[in-house]
Amino acid sequence: MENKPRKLYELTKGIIKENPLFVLLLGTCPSLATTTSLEGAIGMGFLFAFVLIGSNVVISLLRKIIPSQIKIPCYIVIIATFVTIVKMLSEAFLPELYSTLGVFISLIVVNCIVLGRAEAFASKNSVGASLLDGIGMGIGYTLALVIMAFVREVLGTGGLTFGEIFTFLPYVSFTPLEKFAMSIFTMPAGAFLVLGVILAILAYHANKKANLERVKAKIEKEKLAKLASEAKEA
Amino acid sequence: MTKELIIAIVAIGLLIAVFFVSYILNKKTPIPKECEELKIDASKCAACQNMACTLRKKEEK
Amino acid sequence: MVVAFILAIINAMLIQNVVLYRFYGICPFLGVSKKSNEALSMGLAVIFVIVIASAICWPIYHYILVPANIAFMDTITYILVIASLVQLIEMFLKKYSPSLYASLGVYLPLITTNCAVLGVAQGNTDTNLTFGMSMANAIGTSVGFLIIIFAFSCIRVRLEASNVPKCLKGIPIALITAALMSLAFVGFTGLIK
Repeated sequence: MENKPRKLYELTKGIIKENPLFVLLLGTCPSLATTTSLEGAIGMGFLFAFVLIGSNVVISLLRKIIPSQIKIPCYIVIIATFVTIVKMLSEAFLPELYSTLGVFISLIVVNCIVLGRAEAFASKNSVGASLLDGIGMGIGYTLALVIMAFVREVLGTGGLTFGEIFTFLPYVSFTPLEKFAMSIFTMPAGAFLVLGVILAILAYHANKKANLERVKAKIEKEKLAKLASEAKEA
Repeated sequence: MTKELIIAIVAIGLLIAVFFVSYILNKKTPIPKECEELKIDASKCAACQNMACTLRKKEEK
Repeated sequence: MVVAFILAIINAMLIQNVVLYRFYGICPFLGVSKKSNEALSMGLAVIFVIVIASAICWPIYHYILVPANIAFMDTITYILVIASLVQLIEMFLKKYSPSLYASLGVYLPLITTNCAVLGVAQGNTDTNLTFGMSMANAIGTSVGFLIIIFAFSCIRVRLEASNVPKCLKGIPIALITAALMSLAFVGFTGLIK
């Protein structure tokens, strides 16, 4: 019975608590470059999750066979293989996504998240746990990309546009705030700005929580000290 | 199986071999009396997720 | 011919700056820029690796992969070349130049996962540049990286000493600074017609 909460934790930790982009600060290069449009971000997150899940599972399957001396080179070759597969598939089935993301699909292979999860988790845990970890981290990264892209696209172009990259969707351009659009957000500067502000908001909440806990701990200590001094007097 | 394809497969196989051999040889060569300096960067190592770093292994030991 | 080469270098260095426009090399940009001499060492190591790696990857792509019709293996090949190059350079430094290893050696493994190296090598062949233009791209990108990371480290040293609100301390204010730098570099856009 205690397996179930554990498995759920593996799945959900990647989404909020250990979100690869916002908490662990990994994979920042693609996040800044591919979030100019919401569709691009969803596509990038999807391809990234594919590579992460695939490499996690394969490395976990082979973890007993690969000698520990040459772990890292083997992981790099396995991840590079998955990235090549994803590149070819996306070039064939989603050509607009391939031309939008460009070289950043190939750059998934040096994305710190993939190699980091492979070394830290997939090489030491079972296939099931690695699969869940990959899914969780993939969802977390996609969520982070989507949040950034949403902010950038809404503030930068005044609304959302669908159907340009995923051409199987109908072309829908919903830009109610076009008059107030600030094009800085679609420029590279906007990417840095949005990520910085999001991290600042998260740091603010983390600080507030840490402060609250510190105040609570101090109250507890004072209570105990008072009880101890009352017991001494009595 | 054209001639170019065979050459290419051999070349890639050679590259993989070079990579593995250079990785193993690099792990075997000792660092020249700079072990002291590594301790200074220990705090940085926690944030860096690069697993191929030889310094990280030393720190874990 | 020489003019085109120099213009390509300036393009890669300033107008399409590697960090502020193309978004390569963000991780070391944020991570290794707390002190100026560290940033300088990182930048020099990056120049070395990018130039040599591009010089090796371009011929492999055009003379081995393309004639054999397996151009899709370029990503795997490039990452193998880059990783082996870094291992070999590290070994070389350890054996023959301990002083150089003391200053640069720490950053070499970090360059393996640096988006800039693979990005430049992949970009050279994705956009079908000639060898001369690829080398111009490589030199411009890496020197641009050095300039940017050094300037950024100087700014960050000042930021550490100033009175930043608590929630912005560290990475957030660094990112906002990078945004301002990126805007400033947009001013270079009209440099080359």
